[in-house]
Amino acid sequence: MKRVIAGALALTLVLAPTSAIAHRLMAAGTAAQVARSDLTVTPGIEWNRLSQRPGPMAERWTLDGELLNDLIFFGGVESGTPLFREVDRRDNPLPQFSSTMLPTDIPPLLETSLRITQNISTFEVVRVAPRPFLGASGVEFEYRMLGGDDITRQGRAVAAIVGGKLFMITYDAPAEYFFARSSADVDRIIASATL
Amino acid sequence: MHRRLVASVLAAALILPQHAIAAGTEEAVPAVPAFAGAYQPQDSDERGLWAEQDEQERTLRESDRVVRDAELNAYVRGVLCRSVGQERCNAVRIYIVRAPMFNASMAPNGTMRVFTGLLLRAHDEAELASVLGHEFAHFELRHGLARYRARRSGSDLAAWSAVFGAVAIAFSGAAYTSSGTGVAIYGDVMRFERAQESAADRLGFGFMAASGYRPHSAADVWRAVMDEADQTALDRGRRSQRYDNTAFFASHPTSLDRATALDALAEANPGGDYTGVDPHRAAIAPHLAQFLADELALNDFGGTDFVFQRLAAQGRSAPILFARGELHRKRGNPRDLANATAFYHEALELDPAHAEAWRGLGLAQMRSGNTIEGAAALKTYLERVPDAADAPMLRVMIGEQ
Amino acid sequence: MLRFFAPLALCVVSLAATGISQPALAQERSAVRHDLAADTFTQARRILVFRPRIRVGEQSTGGMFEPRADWTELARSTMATALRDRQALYGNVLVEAPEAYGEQARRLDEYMSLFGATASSIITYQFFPGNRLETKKADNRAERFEWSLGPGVSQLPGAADADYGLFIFTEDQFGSTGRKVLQVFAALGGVSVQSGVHAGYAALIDLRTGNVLWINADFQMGGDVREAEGAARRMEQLFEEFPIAATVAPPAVVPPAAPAAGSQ
Repeated sequence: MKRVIAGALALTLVLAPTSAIAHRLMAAGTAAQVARSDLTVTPGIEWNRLSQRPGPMAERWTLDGELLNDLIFFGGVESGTPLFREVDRRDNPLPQFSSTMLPTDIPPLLETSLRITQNISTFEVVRVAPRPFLGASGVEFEYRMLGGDDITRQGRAVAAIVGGKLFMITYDAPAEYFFARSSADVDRIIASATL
Repeated sequence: MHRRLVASVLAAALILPQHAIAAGTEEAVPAVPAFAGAYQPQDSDERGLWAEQDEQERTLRESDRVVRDAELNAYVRGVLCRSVGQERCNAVRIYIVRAPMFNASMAPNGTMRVFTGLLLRAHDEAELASVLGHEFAHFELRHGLARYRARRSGSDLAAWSAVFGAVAIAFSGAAYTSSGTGVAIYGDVMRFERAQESAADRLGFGFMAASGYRPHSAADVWRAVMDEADQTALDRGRRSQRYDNTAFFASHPTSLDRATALDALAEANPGGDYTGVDPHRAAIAPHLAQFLADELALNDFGGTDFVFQRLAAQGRSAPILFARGELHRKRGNPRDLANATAFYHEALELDPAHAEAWRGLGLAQMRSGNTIEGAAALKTYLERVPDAADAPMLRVMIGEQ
Repeated sequence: MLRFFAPLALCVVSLAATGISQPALAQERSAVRHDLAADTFTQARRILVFRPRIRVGEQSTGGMFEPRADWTELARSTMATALRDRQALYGNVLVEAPEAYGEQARRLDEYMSLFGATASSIITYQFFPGNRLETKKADNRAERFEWSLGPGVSQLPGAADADYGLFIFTEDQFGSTGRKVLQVFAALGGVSVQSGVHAGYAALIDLRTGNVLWINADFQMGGDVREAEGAARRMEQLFEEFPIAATVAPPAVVPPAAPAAGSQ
């Protein structure tokens, strides 16, 4: 999973196509199974599914590009495995989900995973609260982080451990303008989630 | 009186043992050259490099990662100035950057970055001075520029061999990405050659000799950092390879010879006795909790555990015990949770008002299945910090019991 | 109806006589906000120029960028003159973004980064084939171009005194001798090696809404930016499809430059 890095006016030469498979259109009002699992959501507006999966049990949607809005689904991450695809297993291994984790252990799991995969430098959890999700007593949390591209992003996530596996939906976007802009659409997707 | 002068930072080279020992025992104390006045870039390569780094400094100056606390900055500047002298010190702009890495680096344009991981790992002022002096030596000897030129010719070679290999793919080359903010804040990773490390060591020893710091401090801080890297590797089931990540390290494995070589260099170059343990601890103390928390973000159990243990050896302290508890709780194996519980208890013995320790204790016990004790501890936490970010979640976790 | 874009497909430069097949890649593209009123730019408006990002250097044999401060300084001044001359044609008034410090500087940096991310997303996901999102392709078909940084831009330093903001980015890596030699050698062997990078983009945003009114991205630009004439040509290329028609009467203060002959 690789974000196109954009510093202050950094130019990314994107001359060559980065993936052979095109990004897919996710139609409004149509239920879609995500992340190679039974997790199903129904978007209220059209979204795009990016062709490159951030992890084996994950899937990424966006409206304008993952730098501006980033919606990730995790469908049944197993105990003893990481959230994302390893970046450098030898020198910088990702933390692993464990089915014995408490709800309060999920934010640090996401934080450390993002630090390693996306070069996040500061990460602050703003709120952690219980929330029923997928028929289980889940957790939702909000956070703020500073990315490797020097953009401050706001994030929110909803998660539940079902059958010893982690199901989670995360959404992050620049705190200025972009997060609020798609918040309601993300709410609708989360509300529609079923297993 | 036989004094010992210690090099500030470990030299990369395997050639160092013979070279340095020979030089050290035969030559006198390397004299610090007279200060020639503020340096200006000489040629177009250097001007270009300075311009790039001036741009980066603009970004660095405004970054949230920079620690602006006046007293801490005054302390670090004081150590540098004492180490290299006021004249040289004036040309340097120091930025303390929050990053849990043992590192300090100096860009050719005079920007010095001191990472908080270094402040945490240095046992005393002398250890800090040795590292800063070594980095300054690279700057004075203009190694950054030489390094840049060397790297450029290194990538040239790669380009030619790709063509010779007749691989029919469009060659895009590796662009020098000096525009990323990450580089602006954390600095470019400079890997110096053996000869350069050697030279910086010698000049660094010269600084130490002139300024009265205890010479063996360099060997000490180096040994500790090498040991830390070994622990990281051990924990990950690998051979130690962590040396290429910072300005000081080169990719060589630990060797007793190297530590010995540093000591030998120290023997040959007399210095003072001053270590400055108390001033260093006093300067760090207000920031200790934050620096410890930053270490936890590394996801490096072996290395961080080692650092924490070394700190713990300095004396029992609630923040350190709490940090050790957090480290174990994060890894989360049953034995880790038991250890964590013990650390939190100890921290609370020293400081019953440490709210976060109550939280850690509660969570460790909950996860171990000791729900009654866990709930009680979390309740105590919530009484102290009722508006904690995760208070809503914790309340439910207690209520469910 | 306002033109939407003018794509220009160029082949990757290749000296290979044997005709190594390279995919035809579009190198230049621009877009204009779809719902601009026809009379938006009829009067002289103030344009806040954010500090242009200009990098000029050499490209070593190995493709490494070697900054050249003197070239960059030179380019900065030639481009500033060229920009002023160019803008004079449109009857706009340039306002240089004020130097900012502390919190204001952080906000400005944040927005510069945000603009970079936006431009990068436009280029990656709407402009050039290979990575386009389906929703953006649909936008292209419907001649819709709708991107924004949000109304927060109105709080940026200097924004209170201007109507639009202008971002300019150019990067020039002149292939060094080594690189050129490599290129010729490689061509003889049938391998294409690109020498030199002359890329950039420019964009105009509405400082009230943050809407991107116009953006032009070009990865193969001409003009040696170290010279006055080259900078003028570069500016002309950056300003292709600029949504303001050149007027004849420039503001009295700035002496009009010789009008650029034709387009492209």
